[in-house]
Amino acid sequence: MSGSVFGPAAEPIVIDVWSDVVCPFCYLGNAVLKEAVDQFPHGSAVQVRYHSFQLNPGFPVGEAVLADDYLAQQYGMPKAQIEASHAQLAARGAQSGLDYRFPATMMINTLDAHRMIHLAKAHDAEPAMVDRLFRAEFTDGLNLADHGVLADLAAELGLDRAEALKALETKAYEQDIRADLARARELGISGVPFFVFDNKRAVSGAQPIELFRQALDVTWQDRAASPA
Amino acid sequence: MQSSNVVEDDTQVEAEAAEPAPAPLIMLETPDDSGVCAVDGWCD
Repeated sequence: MSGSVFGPAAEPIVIDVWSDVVCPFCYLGNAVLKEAVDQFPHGSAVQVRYHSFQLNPGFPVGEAVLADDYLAQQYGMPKAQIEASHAQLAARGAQSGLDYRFPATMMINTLDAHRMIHLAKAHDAEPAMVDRLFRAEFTDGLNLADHGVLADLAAELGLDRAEALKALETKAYEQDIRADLARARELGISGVPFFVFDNKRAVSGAQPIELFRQALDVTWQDRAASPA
Repeated sequence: MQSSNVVEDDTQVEAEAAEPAPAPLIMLETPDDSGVCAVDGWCD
């Protein structure tokens, strides 16, 4: 039996996404997932929830360096190798409408950016904030360690700038971020992006759209097969 | 609604103690292991 609004699919398919603002594959994976949901016949019955993950939690709060310089220093990567890697990802991103501008991308501690995502979630603006932060990081070259920049982005999305600044200054949403990290640990997540469909099936990484479509289809079939 | 707790160390957030393990996830098979940024910050 196929799901209907009165059947097992009445509840939305929930996709839980763990990602970090400075993760270039998370930007791509998020875009590809959205494409897959748009193509999915039951896309209106899909809810995407975002969860915090930090790739560089030890990076000094408030500081920012060019990401390429950080990669070169941290991993000893030759510039040519970095540029080749970026070119490959930029080409994939362009296919999904993303405009990666890696030379201006900054490495930061993303804890405060995650506070903004949780603030936005409290105002039903979570997806818009995630999108805006990714674009700010990878296209606009903004310094997301700067509280003024983050508050401006919140205001741009219609949130209260003063509330955003207060959330940053009071280190709000710490408990929510801890819960996201704890859940990631429980699930054994060691890299992002990471996508969990209905708390049952998972996709690791920015995979081709076909894989996300497969995940949606199988999850929908799970719903239809489960007792009402 | 925002949580308002404050912590002293603002450099990173440690995960809280894990609750009982959930059912293992069913991983969809991927073409390769690329497209992931690992916890050490390395992206491949």
